[in-house]
Amino acid sequence: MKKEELFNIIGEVDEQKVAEANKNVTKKNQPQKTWLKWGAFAACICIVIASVIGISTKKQPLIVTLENGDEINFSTKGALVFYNIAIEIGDNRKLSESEASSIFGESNIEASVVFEKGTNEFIMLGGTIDGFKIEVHRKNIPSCIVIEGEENVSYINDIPVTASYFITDANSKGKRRAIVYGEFEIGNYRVYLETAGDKSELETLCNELAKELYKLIENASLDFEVIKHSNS
Amino acid sequence: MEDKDIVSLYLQRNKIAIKETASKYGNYCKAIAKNILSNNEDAEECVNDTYLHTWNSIPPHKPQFLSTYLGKITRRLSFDKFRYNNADKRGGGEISLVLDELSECVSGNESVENELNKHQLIQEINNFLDTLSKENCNIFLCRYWYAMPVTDIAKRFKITENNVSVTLNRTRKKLKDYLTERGFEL
Repeated sequence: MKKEELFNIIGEVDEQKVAEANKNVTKKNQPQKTWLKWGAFAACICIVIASVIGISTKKQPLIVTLENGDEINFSTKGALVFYNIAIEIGDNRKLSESEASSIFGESNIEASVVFEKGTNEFIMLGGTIDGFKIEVHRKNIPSCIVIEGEENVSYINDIPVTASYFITDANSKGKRRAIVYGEFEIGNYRVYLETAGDKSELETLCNELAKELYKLIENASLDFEVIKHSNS
Repeated sequence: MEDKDIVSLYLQRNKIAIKETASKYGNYCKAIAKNILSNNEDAEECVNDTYLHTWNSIPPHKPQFLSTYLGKITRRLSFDKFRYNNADKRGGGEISLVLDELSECVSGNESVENELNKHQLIQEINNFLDTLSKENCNIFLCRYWYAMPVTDIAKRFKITENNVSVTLNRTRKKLKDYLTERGFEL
């Protein structure tokens, strides 16, 4: 196909979508702030792991304004240290379609769920949702985090959200990656989302992550209590 | 005047319809034409032709979205004019950049295209647009339907030009993958 043909074909797409695209779009100005907050969580098979992630101290504040007017601050300052504390995990299985639909609505999610040994209580979920890495942890799971720097919080529909990013060092090919992540608590659980890409895509990654956070908080039930050991 | 009232004027064959169309959508059509064509005269000519085509096509058509209906006519006429003007030489301007970007999604070979294939492809592109976020869909259409410059898109959505470029780049790749997975050889 020639590029001109594709241009013509695109000219025939749904008229309502075309009309929508032409509506005036207004967003609040995006003032620039910087802050850092990283909430971490862990569960592993009786292993304690310590790791330190060094973060660029160069200030590149990013603020994303959502369609409802809420603003999400992305920033990084200082260093993160997080390590896993031993907890005995029991059975694990794939998140069922009914659970996925009930908890996450129409989002495209593939994940595994983990139960605590002995109690068979749901403690953790891990996988991908709409292309983002997602992890959900029960809040009372022991974890250890060391965060250096100021903490700051954004709000989506009055739910506190923390979001940050860091840039990796250059790899052997000179490429640097941006890792963007956000977290919020809902009920007894902590929800974490992460995405990554080339450093040049940082703004886009922050935009996309902010929107996915908004989508989850706005549209999904996030009722993790439906996950039972006996469900499959 | 409401769109439905303007359409009624066309259906009644009342020539005030053209005046009302020009009043309400003249600048809109002009903007589309200018995004594609590099000079005012050609753009104005296409806009005037748009009014004539609209007069000749309503009825039997009865557009639900008059703005997009007019926009499609202007877009098609403008692009035909662009191709005519640039048959013998490579043209500059925004539309050339738009086409260069779209060239990433296609092979560039002549295709044996029939109406059924075309209809199916349009439907799949509609389906693809449904998979995008509202903003990304709007950015994609601003660029590849309205041929809007990246600078203008950035201002419209209050994001940086780099963000627009990256978003478009990723969306083009997704489009190509999406259509390829569904058996379309572009």
